[in-house]
This record gives sequence, structure tokens and C-alpha cells, in this order.
Amino acid sequence: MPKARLAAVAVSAPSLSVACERHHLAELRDFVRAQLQGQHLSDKLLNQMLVAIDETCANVIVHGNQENPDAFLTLTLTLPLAVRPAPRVLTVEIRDRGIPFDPPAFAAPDLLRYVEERRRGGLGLTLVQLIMDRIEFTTTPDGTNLTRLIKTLP
Amino acid sequence: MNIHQYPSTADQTLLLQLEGELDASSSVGLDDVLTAPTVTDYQRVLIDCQRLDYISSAGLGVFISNLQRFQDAGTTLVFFGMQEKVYNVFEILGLDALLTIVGTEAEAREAAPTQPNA
Repeated sequence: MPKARLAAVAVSAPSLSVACERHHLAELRDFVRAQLQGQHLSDKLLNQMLVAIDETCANVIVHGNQENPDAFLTLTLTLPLAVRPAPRVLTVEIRDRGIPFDPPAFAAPDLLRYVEERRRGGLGLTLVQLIMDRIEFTTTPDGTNLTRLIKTLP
Repeated sequence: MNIHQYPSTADQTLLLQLEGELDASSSVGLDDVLTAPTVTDYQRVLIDCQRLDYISSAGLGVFISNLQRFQDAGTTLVFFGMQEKVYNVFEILGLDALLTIVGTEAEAREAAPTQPNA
């Protein structure tokens, strides 16, 4: 009788650290593009992943760390190496040591009010919430903030 | 992000051609262009998105924050030639219902006809 084998799902977890400056956002997106290249995502879904990760990193850079060039964030993607077995889960982790972010619950934005109030910001988190399956924010005892974005890929 | 400006006083139109990626860093330049007081001297501002490869909420915010000013001044804002993945970002937030987004430059001109100056 064949022995039961525990099937290990192979994963890779590449990461990139950048200083908390806005001009590094393009570099972070290039990194995500390169890492997700083999995942056979549609243009639209790949772009959605770029948007969700870019928005989260922009919040960490601008709000969490006030664009401090001496502060760093680390982006780690945990992605399945094989196209099968489904479901394939993409986990994105962003670590920083700035001000912890306590996100409000999802609320559909009143776009007409945004226009009337001539608001510039505030839609980034909404986009992330609409794109990803799950978002988790935690702060470890050593003061590292961990933002985790999770998406099941088709 | 490169912004090419094609102003035409003859037909009261400012055409802006966006090229590249519009994020929290690069959207500052577009904001400078759109907040310039002379922009609302035009009856319509057409945004050519054919070479716009990416937009985040910071880029969307530049348009949203200027929309009321445009409306008050009687300047119509129309987007055209958007790539599907970029249009999808507008769609996710429901901005496709709030903004005028069409396929071609001809359709954009048709969507916002100008009146001859009195």
C-alpha cells in the first residue's frame, strides 16, 4: 500500500526594501510586476494587484512615516510557484516602523461629496478594500507594523 | 509621467496628452497643470489617456479635486482612449458614472461641443 504523502505547496517569498520616499513607488511596482510575471494573470488583475500594493505602500510612506528618507519599508510577496493546485493565494506583506495605522471599516465612498469638497485623497484604502479579499494590520511587540493583503488568484 | 499640452484658442480646447504612470509621486505635475487658473479659460479640457499606463488614487484625486472648479467655470472635462486596465480602476470606484470617458478623440469632441465666443 502506498504511503500517504504530505503534499507541500512550494512557495517563494521575494522581498524589497526601500526608503520611505514617494519616488520609490515606481520601483516597488516594477518589483511586483517582475515577481507576478509567471502567474499568468490577466492585464486587469495584474494591474489591480499593482494598485492595491502601491496604495498601501503610499499610505505607509506618506502617513505612517511622513516621507522620512531614513525610514524603510519592506515589501514581501508570498506566491505559489506552481500554477496548480488551485486555489492559489497571494500574500503581500509590508513591514515598517512608523505610526501604526488603524483602518476604518469599509464604507462605500460618497463620490459627489468628494467632488463638492474638492478632496484630493481618501480613496486609496477604499480601492485596496475593493480589490483584495482580506486586509490585516498588526503591530508586533518590537514596534514593527505588519500590513498583510491577501488575494486568491484564479 | 510626461504631460504634453496642446492648447487651441481657436476651438476653445485644451488637449492634455498623458504619458506614463500617474501615482502619488508623479501626480504632483498634473495637479500643477490642472490647478493653473488659465485652464478654466477653455470651454473643454480633453485628456488623452492612450499612453497612460497606470493610475492610482492620487492621480484620480487630481481630477476629482478640480472637477467642481471646472463645472463652476463651465469647462467640460472629457477623457478618451483609456486602456482597459486603467478604465477598470475608475470602474472599481464607480468614477465611470461620474466622469465622461469615451473611446476616441472624435467622440470626446462630440461629447463636449464648444460654443463660438460672443
